[in-house]
This record gives sequence, structure tokens and C-alpha cells, in this order.
Amino acid sequence: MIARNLLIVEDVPEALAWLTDVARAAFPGITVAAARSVQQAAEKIAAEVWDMALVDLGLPDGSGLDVIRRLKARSPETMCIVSTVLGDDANIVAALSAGAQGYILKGQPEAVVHRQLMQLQHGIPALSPTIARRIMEHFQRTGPVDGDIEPLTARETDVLTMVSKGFRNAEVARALGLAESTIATHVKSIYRKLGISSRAEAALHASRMGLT
Amino acid sequence: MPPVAGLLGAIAVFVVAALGALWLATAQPWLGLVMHAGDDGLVVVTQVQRADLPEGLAPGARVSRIGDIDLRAVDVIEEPDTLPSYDAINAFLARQGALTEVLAQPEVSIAWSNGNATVQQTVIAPYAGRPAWSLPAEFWLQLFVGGAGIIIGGWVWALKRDTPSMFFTLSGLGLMMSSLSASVYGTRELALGVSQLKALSACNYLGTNAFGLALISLLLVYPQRIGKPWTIVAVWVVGLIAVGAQLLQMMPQQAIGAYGPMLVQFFVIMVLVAAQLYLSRRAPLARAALGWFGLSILLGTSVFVFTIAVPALLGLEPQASQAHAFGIILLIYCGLAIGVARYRLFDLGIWSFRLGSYLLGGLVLIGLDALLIYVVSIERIPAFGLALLAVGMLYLPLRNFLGGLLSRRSGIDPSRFKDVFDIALSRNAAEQESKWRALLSNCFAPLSVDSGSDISRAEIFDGGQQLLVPATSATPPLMMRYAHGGRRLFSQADADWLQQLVAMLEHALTSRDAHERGARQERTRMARDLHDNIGAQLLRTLHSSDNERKNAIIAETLTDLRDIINNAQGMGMTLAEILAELRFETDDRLVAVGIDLDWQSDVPDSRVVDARLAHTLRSIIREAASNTIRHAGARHFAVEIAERAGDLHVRISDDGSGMTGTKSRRDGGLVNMTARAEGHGGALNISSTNGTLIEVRIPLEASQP
Repeated sequence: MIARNLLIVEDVPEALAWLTDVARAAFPGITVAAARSVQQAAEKIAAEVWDMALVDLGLPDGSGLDVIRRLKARSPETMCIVSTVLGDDANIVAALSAGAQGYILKGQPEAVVHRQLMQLQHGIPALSPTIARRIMEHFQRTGPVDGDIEPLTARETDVLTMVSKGFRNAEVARALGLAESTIATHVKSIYRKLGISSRAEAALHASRMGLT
Repeated sequence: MPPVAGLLGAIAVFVVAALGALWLATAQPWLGLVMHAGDDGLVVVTQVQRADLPEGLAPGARVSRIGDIDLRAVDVIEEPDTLPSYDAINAFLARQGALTEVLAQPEVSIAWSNGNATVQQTVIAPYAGRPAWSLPAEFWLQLFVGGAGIIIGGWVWALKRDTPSMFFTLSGLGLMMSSLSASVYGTRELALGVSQLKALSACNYLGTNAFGLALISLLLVYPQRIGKPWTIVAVWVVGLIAVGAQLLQMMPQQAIGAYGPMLVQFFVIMVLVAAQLYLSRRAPLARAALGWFGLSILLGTSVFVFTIAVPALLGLEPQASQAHAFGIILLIYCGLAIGVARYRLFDLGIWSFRLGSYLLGGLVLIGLDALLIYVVSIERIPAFGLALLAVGMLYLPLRNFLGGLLSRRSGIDPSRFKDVFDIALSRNAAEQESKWRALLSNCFAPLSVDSGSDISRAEIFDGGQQLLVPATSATPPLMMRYAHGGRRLFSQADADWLQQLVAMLEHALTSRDAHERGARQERTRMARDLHDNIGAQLLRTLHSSDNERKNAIIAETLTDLRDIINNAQGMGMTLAEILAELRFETDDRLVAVGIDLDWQSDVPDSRVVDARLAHTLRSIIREAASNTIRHAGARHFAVEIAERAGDLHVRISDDGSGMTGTKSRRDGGLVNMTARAEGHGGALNISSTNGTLIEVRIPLEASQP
């Protein structure tokens, strides 16, 4: 997918400038727009369909999770990428289950972020060992409670397990005898199921509490 | 023996005796006439129970002669003891004997008149037996009183085996003997055989005296023991001698023999009640209980004494039916029940009612069943169903309602949990105390809550007038006075309930303390992590002149910050998790510059380490990787991590150019690595033969300096 326009939602001006530079370098010729709050982002989302969005989670007037949900509601095709300084696991897993396709850590060197953005554009999502571990815990907790939840396949579980032990995608591919692109497909599928399962889980909680 | 067995035993005694009485009453020849003494000394028919009798023989008719015996009003007298002399009694017995013989004939001629009309002769064939339905209400009333006496006596005895309750039970037994025998002869149609009559009369007399003597004995030992054992023995010896003398007709006069002992007993009881009340003047609980019980004994017996005994002694007619007087004796048992319920008479409480209540339900079921079959004449099976329905729909809800009323105050109200936790979470000691006092007032409605003395458990004091509240770690010991606005005493159930409240509060306070302690420790840990890691690294950044190095340190600092935050969210860090992340990150960095990573790690999954050690490990491996990337020109980078004998061994090597000693010493990063390892009580060794080899040993257990 070639992204034509990019929305960066970021409240720290320096970070915004830096991200804009990195993004322009990674995606030459892309149109970049910026929003500094959930409010501004909402206006931009209403005005236009975005191919890609870099969303900071901690915004002055709310959570970036909200922005991701709006983007997905407006156009499910939009590639949402979480950008975070600290990358605390709970927030990243929450963002992934809200529909984000990947995340970047703003604290990392420019070269690393540049590479991650390129990979994301080519459909290779990032997955760190800690995030993999949290996702595994999530699926173990959810369990096969509901027909709507699609369980992970054996291969997907293998991939998650290996990543959680600190293997990178390339190593996982080598160990499992698969192409690296297949691993990326598995990770994307895991993210998608994570989104579905946490929606189903939320619905389940809601119905248990008599909210629906 | 469980309490229920005692109670069932008493019921069994009653059932056997009642069946005996019923058998005796129904095994008599039956004319079908209910007769009473008329004003004119003749016998008047008040009810005709048989349909095959001549039409004129209706209520109001006077019966003058049966067989060859002239009937007199004395023949239908309810209680022969009310006759003035032994001679009169003996004559009465002789006439009863003669009448019995007449009635035993297949046909009896009866002379009767109706108003002024002439005397008519009718021949009636008495039935061989008297049907139970024809027995008058007085019979059943006396049966009921006898049953109440023995069953309530058995109830108290079943729950409390001591001398007072034994005497109480004995009085119930006496009452049953007395009223059941009276029920047979007092409600005879016309006559009973001499021997039966004598035996029943003796039984009645003995029972009445046993009842009185047992009550005297009871009041001699309860609530205060004012009689020595020999006093009680003397009471019984004297009492039984009087009984014997009367039965042998050796008393100076029949009326004195029959009612003298009863009158004496009544006055003794009165004196004893007064004495007990006086002796209990400083024990309000005993006094309150005695008040009810003594008053009801006096009331119950005085009716008997003043309507039957005293008139008989004065040579007057009895002023009430003996059967009705028996009914009034039931007052004693009402008094007893109230005494138990309100003042723990005999030390029994509300709980003791529960023993009987289901049993009572069963009896109601059987009674209704019998009523429906024999009185309403419904078939057996539907009758049982109807009875069951009635018990289910009426008795059980009623019982539950009454049970709820009686036991409401000692139940655990779940809404109190909230109050208790409110107290525990209050910050201020004064507020805690006032809330605690308010909660106690809500639960027990005492007239006052004052500070009390230190005790370890909730305790009833002064016979239930006070309830002592133990101190908790937040509230002082307290003392509540006069439960329920003074309307009742504190019970053991209250004390238990209070103890539960205290335990609950103590638990809530402890939990809150534990939680606060935990939070404080966590804050301390975070502060230390921030100081040791983030602070130190920012300081390094500040004093570093190398711009690229500054950036690297800041990136590391962000990762450390992330650790601290993730850890603050309650997920402990296992060593395996830290190493996985480190491996991923290191490989990512090495791959970018074309260096292969060989990572071997062998640590147990469950090993948990603190943030400081995690940081040290990370710093060392990152620093080593950075050195290899920057200086070595290596193609391979290997890390081996293993846990051996409580130490973590890390071996980092590359195949680069190695480092010169002077360079390594000057390098801030390496100095820092060594200092960190040593700070954990471990060691770091660097050698450069084939590439660089860094060996680190860090103790896992005593990693805190």
C-alpha cells in the first residue's frame, strides 16, 4: 500500500516536528497533516479520509485510543500506528485491540523508527516480546468462551511464543521454516483477532453487567 | 441424649396417657343423654345425642329414675371431692356402683317428665361404648391442659437438666395426672365403676398435690436456693403423708382433706414467691423472670383455689367448673414462655422455642388431618392433602414470621459490612469512634454507650444489662447499657454478633493498614528506582560531551522509565521477560549493522528480579553491544546467561579487534558497568584475547547492598 496522506496526532511540538521529518523521509511525497488534540484530530478525521495515522496515546484532552476508534469508524482502511514514548504494555495492547496495526517507540533512534515505518508500510507489523507475552495472556484469559471469538491457530501461537522469548521475526521464520512475510501475516492476523476478541470480551462484560 | 429426644419422650408419655383416658371415657355404656344437676335436686337433660330416643325426651326434661334407682343431682356431680364428708363420698360411690350395674344391662327403663307433664317410662338400650365425638369440650380441654403441662415440662427438662427444671417437669407430670384423670370422671355420662372412680380420683388427688409440691420445691431452689435438700424432702414427706391420709379417709374432715393441703400449698407458694422476689431484689434479671413466672403461678393456681377449694372448705358449691379451672392453669405456662423469651428464665432463650416449633407444625398437621377425617368426614388421602396444604400455607408462614420477629435483632445484616468498612477507611480517630458508636447504637439500640474497661472478647455483664465492647486498633473499649431502649436484656446472640462486628472491623483495619503499607513500599521502591536509575543516567548525560552518546543514554533512560512504569502497574518482572526483551532489542541493533547474535540463556521462568538488577543487566549488555558496534569491527556477538549456585553468570564475547587496556579503563561506559556489578556484590572481568570477553557474576539473592 502506498500512503498518500498521513495524519500525525501529537501534542509535543518537538516530537511532532521530529516525527514529521522521519515520516517525510520514510514516505517521500506524502502529505502530512498534524493534530495536537483529540478535538483537532476529530475535525481532521471528519474532513477527510486518511491512509495512515501516527497517534500519540497521551493527548491533553483525552486518549489516543479515541482517535484510533474514530479513524477506524470513518474508514477501516486507515492504517493506524501508535506512537508512544514509554511504550507501556497495557496501553499498547489496548491500542492494538482498538484497531491499531502497529506501534513505534518515539524514544528509539531515528534510524530504527525510520525502519519500523518502512516495514509497517510494507505490512510488517512490530511485535516486541513483552507485547507478545501480554497478548498470549489476553487470549489465555479470554479462552473459548464465545463462538464469536476466533481462537489463535497453532502457528500463530508458535509465533507469539517465540517472539515472547526474544526472537525477531527473521529468526522465528528460520526456526519455523517459513518466509519472513508469512510471519508478518501471522502477526497481522493475531492483531486482528486481538481486536475482535477484546471487542467480544467487552461485549461479554457489558452483557454480564446488564449494560446491554 | 439430644434435646429433641427428651421432648419426644414427654410427648410419648402424654400420648399414652391421653389414649388411656380416651379409652376409659369411651369404654362406658352410653345412653346418649347429657345430664346436669337441676336446681330442684333432680337431674336435667341438657342435650340429647342419640336420634333413636323418644321425642319428648328433649333438653329440659327431668330424669327421675333409672332402673330401680331414684336419680339425684349428686349423681352427676363433676368432682366428688367437693362433697362435704367421707360418708357422703362413700354413699356417692355406692350409688355410682349401683348405677353402673343398671347401665350394664341390655335395656334400661328411664322415668322422666317434661315440664308439668306426667312421668313417662321409656326403655332405652344403652350402647356398649360411648363415641368420642359425644365427649364434651371439657374432656378435651383437660386433655389439652394435661398435654401442655407434660410437654412444656419435657421441653424445659430436655434443654436444661438441673434441679429447678426437674421440679418444673414434675409439676407438669402432676398436672397431667390430675387433669387427665379428672377429664375421665368429671365428664362421665352418669356413672363409673367404683374401682375406676376410686383409682381416677386418687390419681387426680395425687397429681394435684404433686403439682403443688413440685412448684413449692421449684420455688425453694429457683432462682435463689433458699431450701436445704432436707427441706424439700420434708415438703414431699409431709405432702405425701397428707395425700395418704386423705385417700385412707383419715383426715378430720373430707373437705379439709381434699382441699386443705391445696390451700396450704397455695399459701406456701405465695410466701415463697414473695421471699424469692425479696432475695432477688439486687438481681434484676432473676427478679424480672421470677416476676412473670411467680405471678402466673399464683394467678393460675388461685383461680382453682378460690373458685373450688375455698368454697368446698366453707361448705359451699364450687364457683367454677373444675375443667375450666384447669384451663386457667395454662396461664402458668404462658408466664413461663414469656419468662423464657424475655428474661431467659431457666437460662433458656429464644432459641429454645425453635426446638418445639417444627414439632408443633407436625402436631398441627396430624390434628388437622384427624379433624378433617373424623369431624368433616373427608376421605383419608384428600384429608391429608388438605391438612398439609393448611400447614404449608398458614402454619409455616406464621412460624417464619414469628421466628423472624423473635430473632430479628441477632441476625447479621449485610448492610453493616459497608458501615464497618466506612469506619475502617475513615482517616480520623475521632470520626472512627463516633461512627463506631453510631453503628453500635443502630445494631443494639442501647440506652447509653460509655467507655468501658479493656476486655478481649464481647461479653455480657450484669445479667444482660450491659454488653462490653472490646477495643479494636482504632476504637477504645466501650460499654453499652440496656439493650433496645431498655426493653430487653443483652443475650448471648447479641454478644456473638457484636464479637463478629468487632472481628470484622479489626479485619478491615488490618487490611487497610496492609494495603497502605504495600502502597508505601511501592512508592519507596519507585522513588529509589527513579533516583538510582533515571537520576544517575540523566546526570551522566549532563556530563557527557559526546552528543551521540547523550542520545543513546537518553534512549536507555526512556526504556528504564518504561520498566518502572510497567512494574508500577503491578506486573512483576521475571528475569526471563527482561532477557527476552533485551535479546530482541540487541538483535535488532546488531542486525542493522550486520552482526550476528548468538544468545544462550538458561534461567528458570519463575525467577523474579528487582528493577535495579534488571537495570544493571540491561546496562551491561547494552554497553557491551554498543562497544562491539562502535569499536570492534566484529561479525559475531555472543551472550551466555546462566544461573548457577545463586549467582547469575553472564558471558559476553565478540570476535572483533578487542580493546586496549588503557582505552577500556578510560571508557565511562565500562567503568560504569564494573561499578554496577560490584554494587550488587558481584564482579566484572574484561579480557581481550580473541575479541573482547566480558564475564560478569551477580549474586541473585543478596543483591541489595
